[in-house]
Amino acid sequence: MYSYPLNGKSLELNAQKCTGCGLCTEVCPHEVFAFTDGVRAVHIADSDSCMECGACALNCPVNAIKVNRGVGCAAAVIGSILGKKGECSCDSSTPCC
Amino acid sequence: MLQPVKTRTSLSGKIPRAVHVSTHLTWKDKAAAAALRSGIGRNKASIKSGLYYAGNPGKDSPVLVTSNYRLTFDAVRKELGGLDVWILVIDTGGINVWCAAGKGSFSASAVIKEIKSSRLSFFAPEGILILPQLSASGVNITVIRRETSFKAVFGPVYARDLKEFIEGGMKKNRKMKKVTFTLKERAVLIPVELVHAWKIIAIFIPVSFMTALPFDGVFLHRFIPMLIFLEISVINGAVLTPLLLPYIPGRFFSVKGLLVNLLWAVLFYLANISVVKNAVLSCISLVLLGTAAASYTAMNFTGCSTFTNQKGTELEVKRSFPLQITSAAAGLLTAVIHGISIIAV
Repeated sequence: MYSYPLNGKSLELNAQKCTGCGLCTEVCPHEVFAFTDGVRAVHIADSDSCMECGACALNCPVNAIKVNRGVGCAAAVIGSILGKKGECSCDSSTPCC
Repeated sequence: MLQPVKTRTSLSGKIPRAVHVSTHLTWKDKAAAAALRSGIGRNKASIKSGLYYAGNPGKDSPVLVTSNYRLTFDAVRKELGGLDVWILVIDTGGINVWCAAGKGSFSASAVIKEIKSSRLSFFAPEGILILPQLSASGVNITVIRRETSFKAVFGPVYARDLKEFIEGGMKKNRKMKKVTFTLKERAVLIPVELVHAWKIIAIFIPVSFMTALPFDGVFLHRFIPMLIFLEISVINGAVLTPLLLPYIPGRFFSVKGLLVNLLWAVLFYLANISVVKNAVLSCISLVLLGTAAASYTAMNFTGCSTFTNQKGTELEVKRSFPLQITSAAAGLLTAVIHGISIIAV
């Protein structure tokens, strides 16, 4: 239903390393990964839905996944251009997220 | 909200505490939620981190892990009716689970720290930790399993699925894993968007005044429609674009806001030809300013969405922000030129 420019562009899966534990399919909120019957390793089924949150790469026990993790927030991008501190320009005192 | 404290004396003599919570939200909770959704009371948005419980949990009851943002905590506890569970609240600075995980404050080390400081192994030595799935962008579950004595799993995305998840033997189905962004989910985020846009909403009042000059007998017949045009432009970006998000063409949010507002400009022109036909400069100013505002406020909704990546958002800002600024500056300049030309005559 939703996609966004450059979604999943930095997502890389090393199928050689993959043990098929399935943790990436447990953490991905967009069903980017899937298994095929009879194949041990997972594969990337829908990279266009990948928002590069980094959950899969952080949790993969054999480091088979790489992705440039980040937060897709225009206000944060503008904030950093304007020199506001922090990864996200908002903090707990402002009604951000 | 908080009720009597569960305490037991440990061997060391210190008394660890766990606080009972109600699984019903009172009108006060609901009022606080509505205020927070409107950007009010942000300084009261966090609850104390530590161990809480619902029902009458024991040493092997599940331990739900969550953030200390009040709305998150309320969303969790209201789903726990009939369950006996522990709730371990992590100090995320009053930020929700997903954003806190993205920022790094909801991490494996933060969870481990809270497990220790709340003496979880005293209350629930055999409990399984259920982490919210959306904490996975900040929490490496292998680290928790390795460095504590607890079993840990990623639970469902939404608290509403917790009961089914726990009662179904901690197995997730497809529905429990998937993030949605429904009309209702988009709608609750809109009030804060409008609050963020208050400066634009305010500045459009003197701007409309200028574009509606001269100050003659029919000034108000120009001023009111012009003000309405500009303020609806903000609504187009901050309200209409989020609501209709999946149905508006364009992949960049700024483009979606732009398209909605151009359509609005055409409709406005057709409905007000008698008002605007002799005010070319004012019309140019209104379209430049209104469209910049709609595009900008729509672009800001990327931060609320559940599917935008950082590099793409950077590209959107790089392409759109300079155009929005230029359009707004040109619109303001045109309004000023119109004002001066009227006063000079």
